[in-house]
Amino acid sequence: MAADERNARLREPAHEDVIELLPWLVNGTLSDAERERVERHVRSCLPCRAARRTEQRLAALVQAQPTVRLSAERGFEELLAQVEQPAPRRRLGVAPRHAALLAAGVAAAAVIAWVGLPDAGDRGEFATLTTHARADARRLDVIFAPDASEADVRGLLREIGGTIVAGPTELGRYTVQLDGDARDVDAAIARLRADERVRFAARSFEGDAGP
Amino acid sequence: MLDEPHRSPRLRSEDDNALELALLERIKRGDREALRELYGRYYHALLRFIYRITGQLELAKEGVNDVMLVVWRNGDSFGGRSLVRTWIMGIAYRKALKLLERSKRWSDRIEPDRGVWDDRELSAQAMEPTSSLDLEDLLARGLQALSPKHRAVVELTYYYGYSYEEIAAIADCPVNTVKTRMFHARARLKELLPQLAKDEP
Repeated sequence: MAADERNARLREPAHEDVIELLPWLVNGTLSDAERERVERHVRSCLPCRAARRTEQRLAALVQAQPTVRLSAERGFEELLAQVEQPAPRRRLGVAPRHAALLAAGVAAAAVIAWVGLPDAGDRGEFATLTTHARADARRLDVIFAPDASEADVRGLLREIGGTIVAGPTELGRYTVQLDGDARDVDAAIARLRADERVRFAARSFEGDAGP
Repeated sequence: MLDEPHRSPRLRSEDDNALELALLERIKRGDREALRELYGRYYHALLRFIYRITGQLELAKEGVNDVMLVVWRNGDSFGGRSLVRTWIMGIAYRKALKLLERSKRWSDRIEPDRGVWDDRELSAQAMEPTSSLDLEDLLARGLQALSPKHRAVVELTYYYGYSYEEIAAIADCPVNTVKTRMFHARARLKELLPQLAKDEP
């Protein structure tokens, strides 16, 4: 046996190593050198050729498994509420897995309590809300406490000089338009956040973007 | 449009990574629009992955936002030693396992004798094909019979198309552990679904 051939054989991976690497041969992510060595072995090894076919079948079946399709818009809206309110779940003393249920409860209570309030008809339409927010920075996103009455809400809105222009979303979020200048926005947010009848208050999405 | 068509991370290119790095830089500066874009890029991939690990849709939805909240709050912790997709899937991997563990603790309180990924029900008889179950259905059940870590390696390899080095980074374990987990997962699946290996000796 020539020295070159002997060296080449020594560089070849053992059968067991090849069996371990077959999944990544099949998914095409082995390095060129490794792929070359594995393929050379597979070409000359009957069990490995059969095992590769098995892996190809398995890969195809995994890729054919149905996926989950949900609205990313709604998911992002929920994330935004978390982003605007640092660690709100812990402050509320609610296990994270129940936060969504709590939020849904807020929304349900809000819908029931405020039948008479304006609803812009864009419930759950995040794009519509963000479009508004980009156009006018004097808009707030507000979620009221579930036990806040309509009178409470109207009183708070009067205090800050605001009007509900959209909502509620399914999470109970309203968009409130302020009458004053930009400085009033911070004051309004501070006022709302200090009130126990308000669960969440922040500038509308793009209105607060940037560093 | 936030709901972009589902695209597996394996189809992402170097250009994608450059774009995602730029998004991450903006996110670190508090740019919500960048967060929104990255969210749209990963939403369905993360949702599927966490759902595959936990088997519970509510946990998966919660997990996606937990992951993106980490990205939002701890973007600085990305050291640039891996691709952005690897870093994000690593967060998802840890979140999914934690959510599953928490769920298991809850279910143990309610049904102490039943584990979340208890595979004792999956007898060989249960895995035999019937007229109502095709091979895809059987594989779904077979995957559920694996441990979450084994299932994750199968998903990351065959659905998401990661290399074993990337999976080791995602799972924060040596590459040999990845290979071993995959080896045992494949053996278990072949045991449960002998049709898979119909022409192996």
